[in-house]
Amino acid sequence: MNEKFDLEEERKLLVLERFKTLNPDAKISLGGGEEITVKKIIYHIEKGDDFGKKAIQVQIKMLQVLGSGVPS
Amino acid sequence: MSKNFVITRPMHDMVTSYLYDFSKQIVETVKSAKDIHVTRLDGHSATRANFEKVLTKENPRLAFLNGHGDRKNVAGHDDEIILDEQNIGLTKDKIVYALSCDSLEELGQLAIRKGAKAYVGYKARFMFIRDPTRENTPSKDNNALPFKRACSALINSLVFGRTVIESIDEAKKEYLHSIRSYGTEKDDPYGDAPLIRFALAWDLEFLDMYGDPHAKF
Repeated sequence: MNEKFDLEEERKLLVLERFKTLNPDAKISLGGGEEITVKKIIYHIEKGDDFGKKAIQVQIKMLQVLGSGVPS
Repeated sequence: MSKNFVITRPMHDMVTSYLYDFSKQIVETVKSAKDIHVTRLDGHSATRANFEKVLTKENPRLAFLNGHGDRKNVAGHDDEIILDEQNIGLTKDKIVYALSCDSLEELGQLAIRKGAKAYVGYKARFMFIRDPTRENTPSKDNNALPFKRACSALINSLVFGRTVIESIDEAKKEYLHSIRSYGTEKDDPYGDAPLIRFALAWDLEFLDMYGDPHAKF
């Protein structure tokens, strides 16, 4: 019962679970001419690097948009 | 007196071919607008020398750049850097819209310090989803369509006289609409919708501007 609720960690787990339901080889095209797979996005989120943090931020925003309508 | 704007449209690889397609609509639309003159630097013409010449000689009030980019540069044909800290001063008194990765945070801020009215761009990578079976015909790629709509909304809005912030809002409305509506069987036969919504939300989150939000073309 002493466990502290860690919102950031909960968000990370939620986003990871959602990405794990997708085809790991599905790709997003990036403007620099590169592509990133779902597998690689999961890697960045688990690693907690800048791209991974942005991916969590965006996925949470997307869920808010789908859930209610977030102010633009 | 007509208003001038310049558009750079390299198309030497898959990504630039898609961006080229994204800007087709605005190029067609302005053909019939008598008070707007557009200078197109398409394909091989999207060079640094040509871009600098147009900025200097024609003094366009709006520069719409499509191409690869990073925090310090925006590129043209064959990834030649056409806008960077060396020539950013040429954007003085102009509105710049860079449909490219990352350039807003550093190059955009520098542009404003050098006198640009406004700089619209992305604070992170620009993302889109394509259908691999359609990469030779981007105009028929339904996966890319919602990204194209948002980009078109922004440039259309800017060209036809709305302020920079209103134009960004138009694009954001389009992103929000697509995030909420995408994913029926008709537009998502292969189950790509969750990833498309993620990429749309990414572009929504990182599209922004520096400078005067009320600047107009």
